[in-house]
Amino acid sequence: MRKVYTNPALCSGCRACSVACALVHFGIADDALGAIQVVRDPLQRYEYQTVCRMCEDPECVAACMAAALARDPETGRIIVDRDRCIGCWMCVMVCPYGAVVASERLGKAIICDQCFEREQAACVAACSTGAIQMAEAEDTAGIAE
Amino acid sequence: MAGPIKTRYTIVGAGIAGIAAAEAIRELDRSGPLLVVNGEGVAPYCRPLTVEVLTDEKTPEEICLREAQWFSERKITIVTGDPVAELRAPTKQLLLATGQVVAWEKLLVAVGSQPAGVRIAGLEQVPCFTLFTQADAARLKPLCKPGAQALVVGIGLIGLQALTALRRRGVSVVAVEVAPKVLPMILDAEAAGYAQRRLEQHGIDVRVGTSVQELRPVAGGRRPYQALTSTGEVLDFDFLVMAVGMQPNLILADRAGIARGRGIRVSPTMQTSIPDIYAAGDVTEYPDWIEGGEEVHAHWVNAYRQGRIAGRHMAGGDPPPCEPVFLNSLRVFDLPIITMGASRRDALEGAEAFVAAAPARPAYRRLLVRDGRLIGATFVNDVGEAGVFQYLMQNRINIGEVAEELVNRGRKAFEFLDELHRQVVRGDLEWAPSMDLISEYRKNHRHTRWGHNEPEK
Amino acid sequence: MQDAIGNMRSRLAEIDLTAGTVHYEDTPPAVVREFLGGRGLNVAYLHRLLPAGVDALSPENVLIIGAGALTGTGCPNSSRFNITTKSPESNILGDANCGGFFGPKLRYSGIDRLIIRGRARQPVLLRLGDGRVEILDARAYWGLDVNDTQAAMRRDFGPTCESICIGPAGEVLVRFACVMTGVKNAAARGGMGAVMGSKRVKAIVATGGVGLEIADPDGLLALNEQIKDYLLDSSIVKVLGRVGTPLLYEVSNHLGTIRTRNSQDSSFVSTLDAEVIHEHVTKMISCHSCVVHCRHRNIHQGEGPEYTTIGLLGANLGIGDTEEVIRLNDLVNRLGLDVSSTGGILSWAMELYQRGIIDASLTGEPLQFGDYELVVRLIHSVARREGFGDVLAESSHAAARLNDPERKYLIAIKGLPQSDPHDCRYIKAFALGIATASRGADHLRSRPTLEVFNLPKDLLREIYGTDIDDDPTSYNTKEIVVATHESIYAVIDSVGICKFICHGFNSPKLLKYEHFSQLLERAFRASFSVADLQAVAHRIIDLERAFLNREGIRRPDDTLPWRYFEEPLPNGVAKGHRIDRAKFQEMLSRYYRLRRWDADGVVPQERVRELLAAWDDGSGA
Repeated sequence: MRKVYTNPALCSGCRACSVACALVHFGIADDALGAIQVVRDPLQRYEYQTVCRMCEDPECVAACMAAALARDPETGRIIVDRDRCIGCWMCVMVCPYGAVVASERLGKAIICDQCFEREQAACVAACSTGAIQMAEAEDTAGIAE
Repeated sequence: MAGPIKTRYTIVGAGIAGIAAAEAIRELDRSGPLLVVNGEGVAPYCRPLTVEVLTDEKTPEEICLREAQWFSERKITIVTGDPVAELRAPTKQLLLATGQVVAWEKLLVAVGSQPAGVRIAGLEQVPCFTLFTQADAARLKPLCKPGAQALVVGIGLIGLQALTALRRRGVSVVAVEVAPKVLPMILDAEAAGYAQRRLEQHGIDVRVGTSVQELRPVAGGRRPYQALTSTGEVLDFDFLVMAVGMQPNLILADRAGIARGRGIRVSPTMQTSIPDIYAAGDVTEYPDWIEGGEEVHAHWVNAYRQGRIAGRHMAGGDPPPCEPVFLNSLRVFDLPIITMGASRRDALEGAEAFVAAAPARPAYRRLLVRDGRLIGATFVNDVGEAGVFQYLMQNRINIGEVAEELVNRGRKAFEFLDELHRQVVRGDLEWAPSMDLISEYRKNHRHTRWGHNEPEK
Repeated sequence: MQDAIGNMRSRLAEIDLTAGTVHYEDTPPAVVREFLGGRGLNVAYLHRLLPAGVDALSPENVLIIGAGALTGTGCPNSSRFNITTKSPESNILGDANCGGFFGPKLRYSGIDRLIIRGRARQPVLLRLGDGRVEILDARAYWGLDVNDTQAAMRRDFGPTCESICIGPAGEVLVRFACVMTGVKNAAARGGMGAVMGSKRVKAIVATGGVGLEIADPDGLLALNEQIKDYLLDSSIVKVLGRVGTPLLYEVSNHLGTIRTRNSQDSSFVSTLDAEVIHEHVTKMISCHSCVVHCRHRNIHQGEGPEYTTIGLLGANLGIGDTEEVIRLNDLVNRLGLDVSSTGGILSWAMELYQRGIIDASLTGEPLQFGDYELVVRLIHSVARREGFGDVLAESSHAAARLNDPERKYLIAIKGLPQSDPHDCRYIKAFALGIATASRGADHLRSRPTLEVFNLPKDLLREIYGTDIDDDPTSYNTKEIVVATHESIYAVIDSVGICKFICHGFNSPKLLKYEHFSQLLERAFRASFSVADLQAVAHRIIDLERAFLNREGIRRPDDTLPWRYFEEPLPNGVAKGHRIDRAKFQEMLSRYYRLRRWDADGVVPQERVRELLAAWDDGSGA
């Protein structure tokens, strides 16, 4: 199971990852549509990435009342069925990592799919500082159990 | 009628608590006979999405919780449209309405809740609806025409859903709430102010601190019915939607002698006072570690969590205890709101409130902290990080030092969360020690020949 | 024509603050084709909309804010936008290019260019989002410094908004007030902030909501990655990523060309060397989509310092303490002042005081080089136009009051103080570049940094298309050098990419026309050949010059500070070098001929008509 890891200490805050993600998944350049987000505040002096941690027992899936979210047991990724998602943000409410992107514009949740169809995740390829890596990983323990 | 259906596990109720329990049982026991009794005549569906059916944003099929195939794949039998008539605890049997007898070894009562009502003089003389089940939605739908005038009694979660759906269908809505603020069980006064303004911006006539004293038909009026309010006003309407809250379905439990307060009492592993009978979801009450006492709180996430714990315990597992907190994710038209814990409290003894408000946006974040622990949180129109706070609350992590920074997204908040999630976020990977060392600085410019170090294209 | 620009969007919002109205339209594809975006399209609009002779601080002035053609596409370093107007500092073209995060957010908001006219009755802010512009009351923000304003924007418009704003200096119309975004990104030069302040626009905040449609997302991503890897392999990118622009301080200092004490000296202390600065840095950070990360988050306050700050607020004011320079850097940023002009104007006053040309009856106190506390006081008083600060706030317009009517001791050209801390008496191409730059004494229009590299002749021939004199102190062929750099920088500023990753600015390699052509093709299926892009550059440079001509600029204005001609450099390798007036004039003539301008530096009328023809094509299309 491959998984995207991030390191805020190496993040320069440029958001190339978010744009690359949006290009792959929507064909639109817009960092707001990236499943990986860079939270940055130049005044408070920080920048860090948020992206799905691929919980083994994901709270977001449990919380989804529209049955729009599912965990693919083979790849471990969280699949968002955008036709079903109603933008109720129950998943947002329970994600311990703040990694569900609540897109008011789409009215849908955006969650990292690990670019499973690509050799390399778009965000990893776009990062110029080595702040994002993709690696084989053990499951992240679910938070609930 | 054939003989009793013999099961190892029987689950009464096909809401999310029941489904989650069935799923959890099958994770530990793949073959033990498992029956789900669904009292409603339709396939299990998501109750909170009933309003989406009313507004035609979803079809009934689209809000289906689990299709028949899901049950058959898991060797789960589901009985639809045959509610339980009687729960016979001593003989470990159920009697269904059709006369079918079901024998069980472990039973889960997950029968949920239903809309509560209030007594109002003249109520029986006016068309009164609730909006909870698919049947409710089907009955209400023909009345939802542009120009119609609805009176919604109660502006809690159910009332909000109802008035949103009505408004979307072009119905004019006047909504009354007896409490001095909207969503009184969910929002503090300031947050409720944002919500009320948004309701009003969308054309809802909101009356807080107001109750309906009397209802009556009128002949020859602008509308066929009138309501007299506690503030002495007369409200005209075509039909009424009752949305004063929810109450657990306790008839079965009471007849079987299961101990209860306002809901069925359960242990942290969802066991009731009678051995081998469990309860989960909206029908239960649970000890509220934040405010003390027992709390009934109908909510999807808690129902799911409780259902899973019940299921695992029924199948011989040893799940960690469930300590639910009050959670809500709602939407006042285009204004998303997430709350948790004691968010409704304007003040709470021993607790300090940390607020970041931006009325212009509008956006509002509020944390309630007691003894360093997060006990309440509210996010209005700025909900993206709510889950982080849900985690901090559930795990009772001490945030006393950084609460102010957390609500304001200060640097110390970032450092605190970075430390908290360090391992999960960074994994056990090798990282460059710092950005400095990503690129090697060769101090070779003194002879002003950097150009030669450029790579060939 | 639409085919030629593909699906490149060039959406315009024209805001009339006097009337309180907003009008939307698309730039005609024929005009996009000719001027691309960013700086190019901005000047096309400015030339079209602004008649000659308008007071820069009057409501009639037009403030244009436009993103580059590739801004926000996610290609490396595509963060940049230009602010273009008539400058209240130079009274000619004001045009400032800026990075950060606002440019992409502008485009993600569904708008590529703002044209702001008139004057609001009370302070306003413009909110951009979902393809719309709203004019909102900004009285609550008036008076806040740059950081506090942006913190308020984040609070009131959400943490993902991006804004540009003016500080107190812009509000009181300091002629070198800048427009800021983030902690240190500035559209700094030419008093853009004063124009924004004159229109009573405190801030412009973008919230996104639309995005930018990309024709070939996979193709663009693949190209982006290829370019990124190529850039990361470059030693100059590595160096900039570690220490940023301060590395140039040592180069200039080593040569004996670091402007020191208002250019009376040309070498200074080593406590401002990049390695020393680096001790004060906690993290290097980036603008949007940047692969370089040259911005220092320092341990004291704010971000920086850049080479320009070290030079102009350090050596130029005789201040050598590292922390003091870093603090001055943050102070001017917070107040919304242009670092370059602040340093240039303060050092001018200091030398005038030193020479007894002015005294304490005007200044209120003695002015001494190297006095940090004095500089802090002066900066505050300038930003609020208090006391002597009110005189200095007039920038080069203060010449008469400073008793230096000929601006003999002001290091400025066309009324704009020189930005580059590099003393241009040594490298002659630098001198020609700042003398002819379309916005006054500015190195970012044409600086041929390659002059210091001692590049082999065959490489030089490849770069310049002809043999050039490789001696940086020679006057020969430098017009070719300047024109070559000027052209590609015009395109760089119009596609919205940072010069640090582009050919010519710091390296003979990096991104060239070919790269921009490929990127435009992948991003929008827009077909711009190398020749097309060079033609765009040619148009931009000619139209900027035509704008200057219309404002009265002629050959005598294309000159250098008095000192550059008359006093030889006192220190280092460059000791003894100055600019020879006659040779300079010959070089200038050759430059005009190369540009096909007349001997007085005027663009021929038929060329101007040709440059404006696209508007007619566009409206007819």
